[in-house]
Amino acid sequence: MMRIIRTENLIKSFGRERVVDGISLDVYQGELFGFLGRNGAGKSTFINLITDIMKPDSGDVYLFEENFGIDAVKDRIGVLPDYSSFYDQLTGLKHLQFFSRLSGKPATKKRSLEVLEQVGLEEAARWKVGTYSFGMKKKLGVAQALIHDPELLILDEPTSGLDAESVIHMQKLVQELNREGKTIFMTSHNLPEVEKICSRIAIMKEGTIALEGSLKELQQQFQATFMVTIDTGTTLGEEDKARISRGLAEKKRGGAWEDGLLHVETASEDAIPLLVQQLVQLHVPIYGVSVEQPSLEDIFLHEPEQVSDDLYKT
Amino acid sequence: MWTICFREFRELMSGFRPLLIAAVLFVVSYYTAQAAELIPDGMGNLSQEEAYVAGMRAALYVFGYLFVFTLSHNVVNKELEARTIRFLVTKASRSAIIYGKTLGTFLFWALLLLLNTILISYTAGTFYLIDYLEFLVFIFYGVTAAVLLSILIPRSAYTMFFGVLAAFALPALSFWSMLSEEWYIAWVKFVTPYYYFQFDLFYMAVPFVIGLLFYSAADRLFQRRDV
Ligand SMILES: Nc1ncnc2c1ncn2[C@@H]1O[C@H](COP(=O)(O)OP(=O)(O)O)[C@@H](O)[C@H]1O
Ligand SMILES: [Mg+2]
Repeated sequence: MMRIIRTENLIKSFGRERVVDGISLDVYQGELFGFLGRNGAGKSTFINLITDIMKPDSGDVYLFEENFGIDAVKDRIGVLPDYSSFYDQLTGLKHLQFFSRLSGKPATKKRSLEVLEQVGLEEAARWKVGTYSFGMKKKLGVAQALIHDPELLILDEPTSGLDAESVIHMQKLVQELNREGKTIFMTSHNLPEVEKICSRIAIMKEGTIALEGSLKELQQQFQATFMVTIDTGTTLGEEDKARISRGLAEKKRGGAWEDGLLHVETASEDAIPLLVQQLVQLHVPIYGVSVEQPSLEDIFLHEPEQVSDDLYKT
Repeated sequence: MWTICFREFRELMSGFRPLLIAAVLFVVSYYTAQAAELIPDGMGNLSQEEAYVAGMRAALYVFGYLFVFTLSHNVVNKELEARTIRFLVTKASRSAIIYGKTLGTFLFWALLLLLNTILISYTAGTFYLIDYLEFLVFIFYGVTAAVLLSILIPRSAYTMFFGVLAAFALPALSFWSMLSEEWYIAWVKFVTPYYYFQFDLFYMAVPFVIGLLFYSAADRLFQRRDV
């Protein structure tokens, strides 16, 4: 199957910070590919590198398995770039006509109005863009990516900043365009959204791809540790706690105290009964036990302190 | 490419600026010629016909680059600052963007100069074709310099400052250079267009080639720039 997007060891730094750190990724024809990561993970920078907005420090980008550089295929891709803006004095309609001429496929007024309707901007077609809200500009951004009927759509956060109703509308539009045969590569920081509409997912973390595959594959690849929390009541003094921690350390386990709560990590579900036995041997008063498995979302998408700082301290 | 070119051209054409520029050029050309006629024997040994085109030349010397730089110092960086450039580069090649902008700006000036030349020619009763071609080269040099400046310096507030500075420095340094034998200034006349006006049209090839160098430097720089 044709690889519509292929990158090889793409690297980009800003100053000392490596924002894209050696990404090799393939996106195949007909996929609706979701690119996830928390804010600042480097998703937009990756998109900028594959759409000629930014130049990589090293590495290669191939679109449509084409070796002659991106200029040869710009009329076949539609891009919604992050951090971009329109000409305030032009109307939405005029923008689409200008942009379509720019990509060498001039659109009729009828076609432009159709596309504006597709994204839900038909009423604002003849307003100057200076009067548009953030959400309307986002929709116009998607419209200008669509206007020349490209085979590949690269959309940076097409739903962020939209109201709830428009989010659903945009997700449906993206799915419909994909069904019509367009390959779509989109970023999001919202796992449920990507779960809902995307056929394949990559999760970006600190400039690299942490996980990649279908949602199912992702959950299999991702062997989460189990977090067991024991409620020891209020009876234990500092000495007892220290003794219990030492005991756990001898059994090669880490434990962290949070008042009367003891957090211990285990590698698998099967290890939980053994842990409880060990705790009993250490004379830990057990008032309650809870087991949690952090989700993909907890690990990759929430802000770091929510997962690691408290719970994983040993 | 043409889309960008027409957009740039139309933007320059809109509003009162082209009228103002045309008026200033014509008025200065006309009255310089009139003044020259009042002096017995003319200016030096200019004939009456030459007086008009000399007037236009003087107007361009003094105001030409000032107009070019104030209008076009931000021809590229305004789109970098506004972030509209991101839509452009995803749709057209970077070379086409620079080509379109340069050509659009140049065509604007070519048209303004043509109108002025026709007016002057009508008044003087002879068409100054050679002079018009020389003016085109003069403006081409300024336009490519403005495009280069606009890519070299990403902030339009700075290019405004440096543009106006250049607009005064170019003629001032060039004339100083023509009058001076000092090594540190004498070479300047060879890299600006003023000196070559006194020779045949053929010599205007030099500033034209320098303009091409500015243009290709602008294109190269823009190829590498993150936008
Ligand atoms: N043009 C730039 N100059 C300097 N730093 C940048 C630039 N663009 C992005 N960054 C930095 O790169 C990091 C990744 O940003 P970005 O790619 O926008 O992440 P994401 O889209 O995943 O939120 C951030 O720390 C951001 O501050
Ligand atoms: Mg982003």
